[in-house]
Amino acid sequence: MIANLKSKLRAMKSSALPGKSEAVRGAGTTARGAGAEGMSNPEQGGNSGKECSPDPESRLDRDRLGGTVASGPDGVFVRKQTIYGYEESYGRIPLYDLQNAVFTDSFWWTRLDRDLCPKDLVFLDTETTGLAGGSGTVAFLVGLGYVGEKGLVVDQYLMRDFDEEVPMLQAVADQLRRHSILVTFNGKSFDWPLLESRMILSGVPPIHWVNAHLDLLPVARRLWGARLPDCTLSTLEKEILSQHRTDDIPGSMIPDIYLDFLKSHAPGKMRQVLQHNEWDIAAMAALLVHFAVLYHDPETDRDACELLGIGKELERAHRIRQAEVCYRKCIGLSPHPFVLHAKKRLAYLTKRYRGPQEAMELWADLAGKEGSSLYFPLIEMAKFLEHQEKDFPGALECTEKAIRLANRFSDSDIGSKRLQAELLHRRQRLMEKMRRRMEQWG
Amino acid sequence: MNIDQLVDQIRSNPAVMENVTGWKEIPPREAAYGPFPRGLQPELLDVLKKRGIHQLYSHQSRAIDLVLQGKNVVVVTPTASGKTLCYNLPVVNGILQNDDTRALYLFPTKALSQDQVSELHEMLELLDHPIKTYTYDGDTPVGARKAIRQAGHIVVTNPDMLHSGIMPHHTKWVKLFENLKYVVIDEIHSYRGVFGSHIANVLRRLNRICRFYGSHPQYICCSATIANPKELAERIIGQEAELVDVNGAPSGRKHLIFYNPPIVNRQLGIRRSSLLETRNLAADFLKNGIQTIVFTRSRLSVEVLVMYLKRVVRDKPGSSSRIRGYRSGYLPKERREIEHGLRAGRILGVVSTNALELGIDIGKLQVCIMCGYPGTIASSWQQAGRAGRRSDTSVALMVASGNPLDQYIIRHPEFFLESSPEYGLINPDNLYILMSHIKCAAFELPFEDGETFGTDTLDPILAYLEEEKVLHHVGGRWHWVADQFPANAVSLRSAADENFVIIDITKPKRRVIGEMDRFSAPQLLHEEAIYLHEGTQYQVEKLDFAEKKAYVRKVDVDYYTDANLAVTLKVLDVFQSEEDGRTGRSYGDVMVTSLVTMFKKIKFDTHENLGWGPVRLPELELQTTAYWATWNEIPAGIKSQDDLQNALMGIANVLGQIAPLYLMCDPSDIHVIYHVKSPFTKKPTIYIYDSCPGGIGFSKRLYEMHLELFRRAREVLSGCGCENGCPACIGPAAEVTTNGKALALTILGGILDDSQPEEQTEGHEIQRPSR
Repeated sequence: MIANLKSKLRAMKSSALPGKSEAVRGAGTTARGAGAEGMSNPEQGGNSGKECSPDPESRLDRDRLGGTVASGPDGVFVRKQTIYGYEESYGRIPLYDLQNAVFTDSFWWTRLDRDLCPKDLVFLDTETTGLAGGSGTVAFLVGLGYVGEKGLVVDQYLMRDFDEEVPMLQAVADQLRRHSILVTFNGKSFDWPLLESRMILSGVPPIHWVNAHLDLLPVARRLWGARLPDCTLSTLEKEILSQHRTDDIPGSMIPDIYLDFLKSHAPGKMRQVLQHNEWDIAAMAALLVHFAVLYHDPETDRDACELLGIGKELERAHRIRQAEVCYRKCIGLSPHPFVLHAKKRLAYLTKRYRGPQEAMELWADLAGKEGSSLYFPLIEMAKFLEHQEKDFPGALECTEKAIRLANRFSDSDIGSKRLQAELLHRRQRLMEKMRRRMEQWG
Repeated sequence: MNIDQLVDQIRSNPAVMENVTGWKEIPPREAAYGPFPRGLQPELLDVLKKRGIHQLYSHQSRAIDLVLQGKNVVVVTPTASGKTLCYNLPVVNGILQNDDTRALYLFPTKALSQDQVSELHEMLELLDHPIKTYTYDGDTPVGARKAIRQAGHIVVTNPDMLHSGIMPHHTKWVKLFENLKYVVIDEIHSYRGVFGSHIANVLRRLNRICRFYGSHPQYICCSATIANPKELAERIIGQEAELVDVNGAPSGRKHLIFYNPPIVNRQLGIRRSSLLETRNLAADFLKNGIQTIVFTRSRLSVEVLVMYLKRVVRDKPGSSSRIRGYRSGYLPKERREIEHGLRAGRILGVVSTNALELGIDIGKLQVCIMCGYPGTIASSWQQAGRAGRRSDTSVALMVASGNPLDQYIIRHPEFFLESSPEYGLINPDNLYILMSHIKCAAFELPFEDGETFGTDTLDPILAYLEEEKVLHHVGGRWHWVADQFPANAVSLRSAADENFVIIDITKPKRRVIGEMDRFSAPQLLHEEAIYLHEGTQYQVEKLDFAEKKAYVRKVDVDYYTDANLAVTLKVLDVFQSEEDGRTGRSYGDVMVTSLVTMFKKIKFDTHENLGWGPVRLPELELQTTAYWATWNEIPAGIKSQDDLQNALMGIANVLGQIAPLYLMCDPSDIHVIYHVKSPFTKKPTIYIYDSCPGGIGFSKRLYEMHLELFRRAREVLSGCGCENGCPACIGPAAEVTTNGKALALTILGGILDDSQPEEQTEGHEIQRPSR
């Protein structure tokens, strides 16, 4: 039976069957990139790769990938160290700020329960054999960044083949354990669970980051989600950090490059994968610095979208005065699409913390313009006039205006049935109150 | 009238008894008890006593004892004999002894898991010890999943979820897999054929993962009555198991009645509608206030019968009705309400599809009427088991429909009384299925050199997958490297996910009315074909072969279509073969090539040819396994090539009808073809091959049966009421020849002993009404 198994397997392949979806991904696009292009980084402070015990049988020498063969108790793997000096910048962000005091008082915007201390941080980014997740996806390259004496140290751990996974993960775990706060980009849902799963499979004791994992993706979304087309790290790098990579490879090609590398062990495009990963770590560090600066001194020189985002975060942390300042600064940058949001936030904030009287002016400003389609300021005004001032005719006027708006926009959600019903109910009640007042007086 | 009086009334009514083909009275049986096995925690015994359980039935006692001894167990018991206790007791006991203990319950359907969890909860409420039981399936909210993974003592799920939702993420279930002590598989007889072959592989994967985490779970399986419960369970779990099949539960007197509706058109062999007969029979019981359940085979007939029966009891329309329907598609809340109504006796009659066949608790009714043979004898017993109170007489009545298998069954009630002829068959080493799961397994954990995965073909498959860049071999291990999630590409319910969907476009709102396998589609769903579905005619307007969709529209025409299918069968490999003088038998791998070239329109009744049309569809290849039988001599009664052809055609038709009974499969799961002179055997040959690519184990079983199968065919032929052959026996051969039946019997004589079949049922307990 086994003899003709091969032919059966071939026959199976020719008939269309499920599970045969190993689409030939980008075959032919992975022609070996020879030469050393993409290896030099103009901002690189120097390659102080620490010498580990070299493996004489190494299938890969350090000149070709730029790393060294390191050995642990269970075998060898490749480690590469790169340092970004403090005198350098990544894009427009000076890395000097990594040592700066901007991280004191950062707990409120990181939403962790403690302030960040640069030396506690470890940045993590993985390159994997795919995006499918589950126990069959492997992180073959793990980049860790941390604050060293001379600058940001990027340590990269690479398994050249699957038999190097266990020693590599042990070394990664050892380095991770030296730090107390994990910083990732989208690592809460991707990198960390994947790495954790691989550690369990390899028998490496698990590490728990309780309230100590800062994922930069949601922080970035809060600041720029409304302005940028997406919040991927490469978009942020271009738009926010003003960094432009040359000769970077798209992330989608990485699984195939690794597959080819497994077969040939020729460095080729693997060098670019290492470079890509290294840049990602540096970008995360720069991004974190940028966040810290933004939140450290929210009132200076921010664009409208940032001011709005920072204002909301301040409001969430009950830093009301600062939030007000941010919103007002944002409004000051008029005209801008975010100004309206800021006005609205400011008005609600004022109503809540300073009382409805204070907010009236802001509501009136929002509602005031001819052609405005905003009904909520009118409702807020009506509420205030009705319940606080007992100015029923004034409240009725606002209500009538809102009803006219609702009718005009009856096919959009502005004029939803529920809103219309609420408004009509309010009008009814106001008329009733006015009638009763007339009766009392009459 | 009470039920005994009604039974007497039926028995003394010749108009009814004329149609009764068998009547068996099963006397009441006392309960047989056994001791509480040693090793059960005292607090558990207290809870049982609080629930009124002071002793165990013998089968419960035996099963629990075996589990406590560390054995895998298969319990075979009829409906509602307290089988859940057989697994709940040892599992809860294990958790009470060690709080880390984990158990996994597998039920074939979601509805069944929900029901079991609520039953388990009732028992757990009485314990001081908090034991957490959760269902984990597609409906489990994402927010709750983490807690279940961490803290659930008993995780209740279905095989599909285990396959694609749990095992590929096993590192998130460390707690479960490290401490997994019991795996409960209920309704294991439903895991046969393609589904069962998949499940066997799912469990191979489960066992691998458990080994990785250092656990060795025990299996507790429950099965309905089939011929080979132990063998099926052992093949599925891949380990030895102890069989417990002596039922200790008590039962009352039971009448088993087989009813064949009378023939209304002798020439065409048409019988009175089983639906109308069911209505009349059910009416007698319902009018007398006797709680009755009626099982039918389709959702549509559920609705029709509910309507009929409401008229019978003069029920007012509305939900307070005393006659209710029950089928998939009803809301869970509505179902719970019906179940409760049945238990409380508020509902007098329920008409159900097989949705109520499985373990859902509706209490015990007095009468069960099966409108049509439920498809397997095991299902029939499960349905019949719905009727039967301990102290009371009960009746189970089967009304045959006109289809050939029903007609065969109704004439052979002894199938229900002798040991079950039904073999649950699986083939976990079916290459297609095996390959799918080897991929899933490699994704879960790398294979190590020397692993077996329960098969001898692992190594070449791994090597093949490395060539395909799915795996990578290094350091004695095979690692998954593809950027894929293989479990998502594997459906456990089909071998090759290639069924054609049939879409009704009569109304603006399109709906899917059925499915058909890839290999039958060209023949039955070509454009202009008339497709019959639940008695309605549809015409195929468009067959989208690439997208596997057939668009059909309702029509009302006086013809049917018959596509000309050219099938060539090539033997690739013979696994086993034997000659015994008059006949030879073999089984092995075959390649079946089929091509549909044209179709004919044939008028009903007259069978006139009304025209034809071409069919332009690609040739299809199916590599599968087959059994074949040869005639070494042609009997003297066969005078010409035509005679031989007609004789073989007749036999092929009969075999196609009866073989599914022994294989416990659907008639469409096998195909029968004949060669007057086979290019391979050079003799007259009948081949029976599996519809599923790669084969599912039917051919081996057929090889073992061989002449037994042909003897059964002879019984069918001689037992059929027709004179010269009819569609119910020799099938299409009846249309082309006038003596097809005689020819078929003659050719059978060529391989069977010349003595006529002994009347097997003679002297048997079955009382046959005298005519």
